[in-house]
Amino acid sequence: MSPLIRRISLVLLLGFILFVFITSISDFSTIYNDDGKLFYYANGFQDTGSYNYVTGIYLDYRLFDSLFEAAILLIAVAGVMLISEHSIDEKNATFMLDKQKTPELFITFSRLLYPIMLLFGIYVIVNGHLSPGGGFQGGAIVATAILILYYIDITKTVNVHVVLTIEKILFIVLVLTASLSYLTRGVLFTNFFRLDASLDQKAIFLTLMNILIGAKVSLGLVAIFTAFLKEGR
Amino acid sequence: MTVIPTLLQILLIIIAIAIVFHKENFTIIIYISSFGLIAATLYVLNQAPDVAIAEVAIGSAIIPLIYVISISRQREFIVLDRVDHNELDETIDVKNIELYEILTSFVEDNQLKMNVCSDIKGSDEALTKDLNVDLIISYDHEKQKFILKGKQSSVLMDHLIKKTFHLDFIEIVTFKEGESID
Repeated sequence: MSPLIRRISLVLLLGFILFVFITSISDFSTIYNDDGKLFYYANGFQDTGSYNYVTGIYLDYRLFDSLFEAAILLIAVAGVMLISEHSIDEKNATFMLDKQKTPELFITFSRLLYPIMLLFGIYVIVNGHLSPGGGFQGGAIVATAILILYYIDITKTVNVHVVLTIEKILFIVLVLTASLSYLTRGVLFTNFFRLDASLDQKAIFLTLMNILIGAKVSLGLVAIFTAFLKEGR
Repeated sequence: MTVIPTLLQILLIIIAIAIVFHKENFTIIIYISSFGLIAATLYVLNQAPDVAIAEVAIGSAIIPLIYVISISRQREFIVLDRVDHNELDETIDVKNIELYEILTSFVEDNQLKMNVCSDIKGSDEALTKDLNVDLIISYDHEKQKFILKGKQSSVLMDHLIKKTFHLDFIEIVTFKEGESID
């Protein structure tokens, strides 16, 4: 098959997909209705005890989905480790920037920025149920702060083996904490306090889950980054 | 109030096109980072601050950092030398030294690290494709020229052609790569 025919058939296929997509979403009233929004407005705060409805959804109504989201990151880290083909306990990563010198200005700014970023990340994690943010976002910020730390101190080493082990243990703890509600409420994957418990009690569960997710996400991203550093050494 | 989101969306499209067409790797990283930042601004304007925080942290911090690492890893210029030095006489040896001086300065200009190797067997085109060899040097006795072979798609080859254009003992051959769209 010549390239021209291949390209034309590709364009036709994409056009067909676009056509199917447009016809399938033409019935807007059934897709864009307010039912879900109105339900969360009416019951979200009482059910979950979270001021941030997004946190309320992903840590209470849809906790099952969040667990798999965390599992996907775990699988991604495992995939990166497999592709980079280093046995994990081979050696600790030393930073790659030793060859090309990092600018002095960058190091100074990183030193100023590092504690602020770390603090902001922890703030975002802990206040996940009060303000925008949550475990994943805060974990990503904490991971960025730790990555900046590499630039400050090029001799810094990280034991990937320990990082990966902690991440796996945290995931198991996450699943166990999420399924604890089966003992107290008889339902899997929801808040382990009763439905009529006070807001403070519910906040304990939300904060605990956010901290677990945040720690897991930040460790996973650091592990991916370290794998990239080690590659080709 | 719909002016600012519209402008940002147009800017987003411009940056996306610039990412595709730009040649300098580190400039592209800056573009990717600003793409994430503008996308995050749009998320905030559309009242999704949770998504915006995730986009800022992932899209404009972690991904550019990972790209910086990956590109720093690519700073190696692999040269395969196929010239049989036993056959050469002294006049050609002088030219050979001059060739290597040119290559060294070329590599330093592009902030790369030269890695010269020999004794790799296989056809030239397959080597550049599979083994990631950047340049293959051989000597043609009839033309009395050094022949440098490399990929046509590589930007480095364009620079090398410009640099060696005035020298009559060097000829540069570029391979065209096969169709990558399937």
